[in-house]
Amino acid sequence: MASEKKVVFLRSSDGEAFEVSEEVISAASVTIKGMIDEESPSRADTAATTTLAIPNVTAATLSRVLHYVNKHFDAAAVVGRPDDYIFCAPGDEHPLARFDDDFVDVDNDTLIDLVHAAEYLHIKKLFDLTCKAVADKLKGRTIDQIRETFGIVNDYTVEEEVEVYRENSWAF
Amino acid sequence: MAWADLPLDLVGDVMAYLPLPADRARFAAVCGAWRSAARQLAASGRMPWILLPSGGVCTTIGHAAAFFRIPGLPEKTTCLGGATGADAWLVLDCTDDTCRRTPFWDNYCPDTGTFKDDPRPDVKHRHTYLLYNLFSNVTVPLPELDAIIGHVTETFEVCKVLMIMPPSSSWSTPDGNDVVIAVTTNHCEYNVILCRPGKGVFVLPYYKVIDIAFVRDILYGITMSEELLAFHLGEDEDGRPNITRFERAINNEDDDDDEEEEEEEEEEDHNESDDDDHESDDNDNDNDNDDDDDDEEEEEGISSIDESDDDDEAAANQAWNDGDDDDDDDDDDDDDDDDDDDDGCTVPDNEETEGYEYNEEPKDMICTSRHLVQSCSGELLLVRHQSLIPTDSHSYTLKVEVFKADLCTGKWVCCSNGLPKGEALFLSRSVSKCTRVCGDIQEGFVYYTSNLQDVFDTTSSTTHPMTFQWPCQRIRRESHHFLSWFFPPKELLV
Repeated sequence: MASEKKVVFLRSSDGEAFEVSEEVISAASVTIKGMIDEESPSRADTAATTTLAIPNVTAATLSRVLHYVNKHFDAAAVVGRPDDYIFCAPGDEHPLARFDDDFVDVDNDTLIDLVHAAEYLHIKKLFDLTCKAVADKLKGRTIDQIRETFGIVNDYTVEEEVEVYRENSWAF
Repeated sequence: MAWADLPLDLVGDVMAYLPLPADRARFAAVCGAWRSAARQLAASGRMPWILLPSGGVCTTIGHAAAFFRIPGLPEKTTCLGGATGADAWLVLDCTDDTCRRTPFWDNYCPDTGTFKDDPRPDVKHRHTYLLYNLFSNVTVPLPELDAIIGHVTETFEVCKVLMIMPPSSSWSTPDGNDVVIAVTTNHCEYNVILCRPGKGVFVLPYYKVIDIAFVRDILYGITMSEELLAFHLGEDEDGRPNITRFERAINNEDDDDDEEEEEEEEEEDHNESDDDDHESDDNDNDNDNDDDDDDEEEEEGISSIDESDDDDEAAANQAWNDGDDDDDDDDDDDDDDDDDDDDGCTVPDNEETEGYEYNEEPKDMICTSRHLVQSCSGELLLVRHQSLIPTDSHSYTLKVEVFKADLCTGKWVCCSNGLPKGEALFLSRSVSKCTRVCGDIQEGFVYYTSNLQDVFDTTSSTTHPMTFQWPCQRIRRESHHFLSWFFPPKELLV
């Protein structure tokens, strides 16, 4: 039982705490690694585990993010070319590709929360994945469909509308 | 959180994953916030895309890079490059021959240290060429080209494809009828091919052209010995392309006085030249003969090749022999020396040299490539790019020299200040282009797909780390030889 792995607790904006391996979260999140490094001098002499406040991320989102992080950054679980797979050609199957597809198969509100969390926590792979998922929701859609999907109001003036149409008529 | 409030960098990163122009345009038209974010990004300038021979593309926006396979491409397609001069068009080759589109390292077998599928000089495949418009998904078949180079060996390569359109036609013209396409290959019999879709083709006699550029209706070509040739384009009564006049605009071999005379002679002695482009038929058994008739009947107006060419050929072959020595020792390949193999491989003796020249030194190798580009200000530039390929590490740029064609004196003029003011240069084998400086793209910089780690500053003759962080790990799996720049048209910048 060599389970001497350090753990940290992350407290979400709504006060829920999540336990995660320090090694795993440090590998995943530049932001949290920075927080841990700042804490570490004071931590060395105490055995107490650290709790880090993540004020911008709700419990629901944080738990999803940690699920992703544990899948992707726990060295024991990762196989193949971990940094490369998102760029693989279709058919170039990566073990986590299916997991990723399911992971971002969520409603738009959840997705944008994930985008912002990935950006705030600076988890590059997750950020790329979510941006790609957003892009996938845009592909082949008309402007009206996009507005409807994402709940965006057409805020152009009549003049702007005409101009936008003129510039992009080839694409509509 | 509202979708309309996407931060600017996020807009950029999402757009990096939208390869299709229409998707991008619609994305940027959804609302005022997205539109202004997209415009801000466009105004900040950006690097061109990198096209992969597999039909994949590496795009950049903001600081994100993303890979795609271009949606909608036909099956079994190799992407030969973007047709420079008309940037929304891709040139595709539908073929079973997978040599070119197989990523370089996918072809490498680490156990044996060899390559699984080297191009074989004795195996032929069918090829169907077409133009593909990224905006409209329109494809223009090029049966005229298929008739000539539609059944070729695995070692055959299309090097460069250029497109020229009359100023009247717009970039989105779906029919290719107004277009003249110039294709260079590594085969001496089909060194340069002119093609008008639906009209016909014309094969230029073999002048050992290694790179070409269109300037209005003149096709310029350079040779290994850095001669500048000018082919004046015309068409016959059926609209088939031909050459109305040929001149050596810069002749490095002779004095100026001789040159004048020579040109006049040349214009008179056409029709005596029918055999010139078959001079190497003897040792050249890998092409169909059924095209020969075309070549001969269309050859009017082309002057003969003078004796000086024999010297050129000797020189060119010599250069290749140096390179060939290196090609054979595949066994010491490892992840660090991908460049020398991919630049040096697959050149049988009887094929054209494409302007790469290798000088072997005791340890390291210097690779010189020559490119012909038109600057934004309209000058014709010869760019001599030298990379050092150390035996034990990545290649890097040694120096880049820029010469300006002075057509009045018939000389190359060395540009000691580098590129013309306010311009940068993107070099790749199939697409080279001068661009105006903006955003990340810096004045006097030369970006070369074979050396994505560094960039050469011609104003100070120094190398710098590449300004944009290309995902080199991923790109390195591809053969650098076949990577090409692709310049999304400005319509795409929203």
